[in-house]
Parts: sequence; structure tokens; C-alpha cells
Amino acid sequence: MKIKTRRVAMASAAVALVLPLAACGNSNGDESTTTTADQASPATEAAGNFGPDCATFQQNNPSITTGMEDDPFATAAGKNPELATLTNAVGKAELIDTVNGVKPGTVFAPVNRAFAKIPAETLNSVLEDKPTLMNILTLHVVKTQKLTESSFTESGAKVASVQGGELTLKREGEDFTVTDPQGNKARVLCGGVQTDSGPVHLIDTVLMPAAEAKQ
Amino acid sequence: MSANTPANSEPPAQPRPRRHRLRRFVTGALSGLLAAAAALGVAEFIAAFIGPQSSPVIAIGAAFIEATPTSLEQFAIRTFGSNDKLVLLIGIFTVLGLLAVAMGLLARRVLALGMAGVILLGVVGAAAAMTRPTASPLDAVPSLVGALAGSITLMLLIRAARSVEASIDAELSGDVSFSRAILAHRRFLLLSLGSAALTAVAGTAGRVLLGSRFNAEDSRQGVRLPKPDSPAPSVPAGADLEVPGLVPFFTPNPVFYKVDTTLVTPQLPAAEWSLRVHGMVGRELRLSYEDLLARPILERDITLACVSNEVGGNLVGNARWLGISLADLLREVGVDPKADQIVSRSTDGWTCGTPTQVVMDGRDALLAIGMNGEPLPLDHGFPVRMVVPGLYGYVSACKWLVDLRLTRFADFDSYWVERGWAEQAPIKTASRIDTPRSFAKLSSGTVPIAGVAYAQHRGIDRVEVSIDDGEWQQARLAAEDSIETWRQWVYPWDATPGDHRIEVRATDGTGDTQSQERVTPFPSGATGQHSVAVTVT
Repeated sequence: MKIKTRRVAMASAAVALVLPLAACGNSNGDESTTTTADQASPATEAAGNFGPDCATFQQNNPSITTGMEDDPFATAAGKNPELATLTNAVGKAELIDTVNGVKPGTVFAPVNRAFAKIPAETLNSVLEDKPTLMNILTLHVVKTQKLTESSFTESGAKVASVQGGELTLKREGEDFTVTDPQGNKARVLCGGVQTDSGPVHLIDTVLMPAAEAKQ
Repeated sequence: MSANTPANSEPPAQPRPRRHRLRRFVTGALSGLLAAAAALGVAEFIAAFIGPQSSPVIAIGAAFIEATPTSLEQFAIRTFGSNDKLVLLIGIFTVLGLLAVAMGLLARRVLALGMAGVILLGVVGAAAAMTRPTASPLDAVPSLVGALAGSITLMLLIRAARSVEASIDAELSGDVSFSRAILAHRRFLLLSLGSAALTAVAGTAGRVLLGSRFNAEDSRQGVRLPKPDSPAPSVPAGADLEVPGLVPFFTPNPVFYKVDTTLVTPQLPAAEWSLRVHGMVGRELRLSYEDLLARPILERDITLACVSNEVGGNLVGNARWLGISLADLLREVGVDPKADQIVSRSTDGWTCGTPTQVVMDGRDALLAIGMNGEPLPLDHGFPVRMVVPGLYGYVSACKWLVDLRLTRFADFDSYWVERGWAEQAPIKTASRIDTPRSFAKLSSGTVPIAGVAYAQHRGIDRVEVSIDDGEWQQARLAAEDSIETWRQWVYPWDATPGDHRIEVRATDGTGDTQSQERVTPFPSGATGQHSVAVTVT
């Protein structure tokens, strides 16, 4: 009897306190900042992130996974410490405005150490070769679709990149991978990082287009 | 607790004191929470009759936003992004919850202190409401009445909790029957449920009533915009090139960009609106909506832009505005020549600082009531906002305008200036490619490249396009509507197969051409030439 009393009373107190909060939430309507015509407002929370390294990133530096919700893709990458090399590459390819203009869409963003896997000499020559650089970078961009955690399937879902090459999104348990046309598998370190244009998925390898890159 | 332990009773078993303390903690904490909830619920109900700004949680939230130091605000935006306001609300409720638990535990020991604590919290809520720009003494009432209700609830619950204790002790020492204990428990339970129910009913009723009584949408539906005494010149033929993919010359209200700091969209019915003009003026003035409508009405086409707009961004829009001349109004009240800043204040406390000299230099600075043929939409500033051609919004376009104060830049920093943005912020020349879009796949042949360009109050002289860093080619400009609006442009490109990069630049009416130099929006607006990469097959 005593225990039941306490439990019932606590439950009603909880309800009474939550009610005003819910009411406040409902009346907020459209008070958020920078709203534009085609923005499907993302349910921005940590719960939208997936992948093994999100917690580590969040702990080391929250601006790796949050704070870019009002920015288009390239601006968001520019603010992300894990995407410094990528941002430099996008700048070298003169694609900053173009990438910012992709909305909605999805970006698979190789983190700094992904670029470190490429021999320095090779990387530097690619950075000076605009057509090759553009070919590689556009393989990481998908227009129109906002690909989320559920887009990664057990059997492997195929999506077309801007470059034209196909990417395969696969999920094996809690491992999320992206396979490029050459068959290389990149692991998603932290996916679902929200930007104004769509999700960014941080990956550990630079994706490579097929050898015959003409489309 | 029972003072006498009968000689023949068993000494208390070891676990009993701990259960005692736990029960006291739980009933104390619970009483505190329920009392706080009752206080908020009643306050919300009373606020429904006075106005949304008198609701304690909203008032505290707004006061907090205004008082937040820049560093904390930037931390919040970095960490929570566009959820920062929700996080603020959750934070306020969490702190209130913890304080409520503390009050309850305190009351359990010394009832009077706990009740005093609840009253004190009510005073804090009332004080927050009084700091709001349009505050009247009535705004303090909901918080105070709520606190009163809360402290009474606390008293009733704590007394019931104490009699539960007493009955348990009496029962354990054999003084009373089991049923007395049950009755005491039942009383506490009923009181708890009762106060929770009171909270739920009062709070919900308050919210619903607030929504219907202070719904400015009804007021807006009832507004009949007057015909302008000075209509806008008709838009010249050819001002809208109507190229597929190019934004229309006038930006429709539903897609017009919105940037603001409000926690909830302010609901300000026109009948209750007034504008106070004061400060370094010859005489003070207070205008009602009717007073505004009685003045000469102007109609002007003006393109607004947000300072946060990135190169190629869409935080810019063009509308036909209806309103009164701000310069004429200021001339009537007489402005002190030393008053170089007009501080406009929104109903939610946001401030904006506009150079007096700019408003008085002959351009059509407006107090606007209409946007694209209808009364200002609620989230675009109903019933009245400011619009000054040529300045970024954060220094000129105050929505839900309720106060104009003439002062000096030296004496006051407006909201965003406080946070590091530039004090003077004329709109920088910009141009944008609307079509083709990023990474478009095009067929070779003639491809119309089109977009907009703007340099408010200077006008656009020329727009040029460059393909693959080649020679700058002149684009065709749409007919000019006014120097305060953007101008569309189109360039018929002979597209050959391959990957190409298109770049655009504009030259303003003074002969200045956009430079390639890139700067970020902070602190005074972005610069740079917009480009788009496409593939032609």
C-alpha cells in the first residue's frame, strides 16, 4: 500500500511537470532560425548519429558532430576539425560554392587520417590535378537523397554519386560501410552529422572512382 | 513522531531509521515538485488573461537570452545547433525541478522556510516579467499568484506527509490501529493526485486560453490594408525574365527567409499594439495601429538581405512593402542632432541599431505593415516592422516593433553588435547563379545561365559571367525596378561537352566591381564571386 501510494503520486507529479513543457514545445511552431523553402527540418539530436566513433568525437570536440545544422555542406566541413584536409581539397578543386549549392543531398566525408593513408606524393599531385581531384571528390556526393542509418542495408543498397560511380551502403550488425566502384570498403566512423543541406557521414577511407572514369 | 515509547514495545529494528529517512526524503521531494508544478500551472492560467509575456517560464527564458554573455551563447549554438532554445527550456525546467525538490526537503524540516522559498521563486519570475520591454505591473501577477498557490499546496502536502509519519510511528508503537495509518496515506495520496490534477487542468486551460485570446492571427485576418497614398511605380516589363530555375522577381511570403532569436513567434494583436518613440527627441510619441494607418501610406519594392548569407546563399528576398515613412515620423518629433543611432526594439526584447543619418538621407525607410499585398505574416513581424533599404537586416529590419529610441552609438550596443557583429552594415554587392544548379548534367547547345544581383541603394550597372576562368562576358540585365531591389540577369551560354565551372560578378551603380576576395559573413557580410560546376554531354 505504501509503495503503491508513492509510485502513483510520483507518476502524477511527473505528468504534471511534463505537461507545461509539452505545451511550450507545441507552441514553438516555426521559431527556428534560418528557414528556407526546401528545408525539411532535421530531427537534430545525438540520437540521429550512428557509428562506433561518435561518442569519442563528441567527447574530444563537440564541433565534429554538432553545430553545423544551419550551414550548407562545404561551410559545415570548413568548421569541422576532422574535415580540414577535405575542405582544403574542395577549395583546390574550386568546388566550395558548388558543394554548398547541393541541397538536399548527402556527403560521405573522409576524415583527415583517411587522406593520410594516401602516399604524400600521390596526394599532392592529385591536389594539383583539378579534373582528377573533381572526379574523386564528386564520388563522395549524392544529390537529392538524404541517406540515413536505415539506408545502409544488410544486402547492400546501391546509390548513384554525382560523379556517376555507384556506392554500396552496407550494414553488418553495428558496422556501416561504403564500398566504392573499385571495391574498396570505407568504414563509417560517425554517420548522420546534421547540416542544413543534409547528413554528412564521416568515413575512414577516401573513395576511388573506377579506373575508366569517363561518364 | 511519538514522544513516548511504551515499555512493552520492541526496540526498533535496524533498517527502520533508514526507511524513515527514505520516506521523509520521498514525501518531501514529491511535495516540493507537486507544489512547483501547481505554481506553474496556476501562473500559466492567470497569464492567459494578461498576456504570454507574463508567463514565468517564457519571461525567465527571454530575460536569460538577453543576458547571456556571447561566449556562453556561442558555446550553446556550437553544441546544440538549432536545438539551443529547446535546450534552454529543458534547462530552466530542470533547474526549477531541482529547486522544487530542495524547497520540499527544506519544508519537510521547517515548513515556513520552504514556503518562503516558493514565494521567493515567484518573485524571481515576476521580476523577470518586469524586465520585458513592454512590461506593465499586471505582468507580475501570474508569477506571484502562482507562487502563492504553490506555497499553499506545499503546506497542505507537507502537513499530510507529516501526519503519515505520525500515524506510522503511532501504529508501530501500538497506539493506533492499522486503519488510521491507511487513512493518513490515503489523504496524502489524494492531495498529491489533487494537486497534480489542478496543475494539469490549470496549465492546459491556460495554454489553450492563451492561444485563443492572444492569437494574433485573428487580428491579422481582420486587418484591411489601406490603399497607398504613394503607390510603388509599376514594375517595368522585363523585370522578371521568367527563366526556368530563376527565382521570381517578388519572393512569395511563405518562402521568404526568416532569421530571428524569438523563443516563440510573438503574438501581438494590432488592437493591443503601440509604438513608443522616445529618447533624444523633441517630444515623445506613442502611436496606435490606427494612428499608423491614418498617416500617409507608402508602397515600395525593397530587397532585404541577411548578413549571415553565404556566397550564393538564399537569405535574401524581395517584396513589395506597404508602410509609413520613418523619416517623416522622426522629423515630426524632432531628433537631437547628436542622436546618431535609432534603437528599435522588438516585443521579445531584441534590439537593432540603425544609423539616423541613413534613415534621414532620402531613401524610403519604412515602418511596414504590409508585405506583398497582405498584412505582415505573423512570423515576418506582424503587426509592424522596420525596413530600411540598403542595410542588412540585423541593423535595420526589426520585426514585431514596439519601441524606437533615439540615442548614440557610443551609448548603446544593439543585440548582434554586442556579440561582435559590425555596428555599420551596408549590404555588400552580391551576385548569384540560380540556374544551372550544382553538378547539373546538361546537353550541349544553348544553356541559359541566370541569377540575381543586388547592391541596394547603389543599383546594378553590369553583370558578367566567366566560363572556366575565361574572359568575362557581359550578361543581359533585366529591366531595373529600383535601386533598392535585386536585378535578374541571364547569359545564353554556348555549352560544349565537358566539365565546366561558371562564375559571376556584378558591378554596382558607383562603378565598383565585386572582388574575388572571400570573407566570411562574420562580422559584416560575406564577399566573393559565386561559382557553379556543371557537366555538359
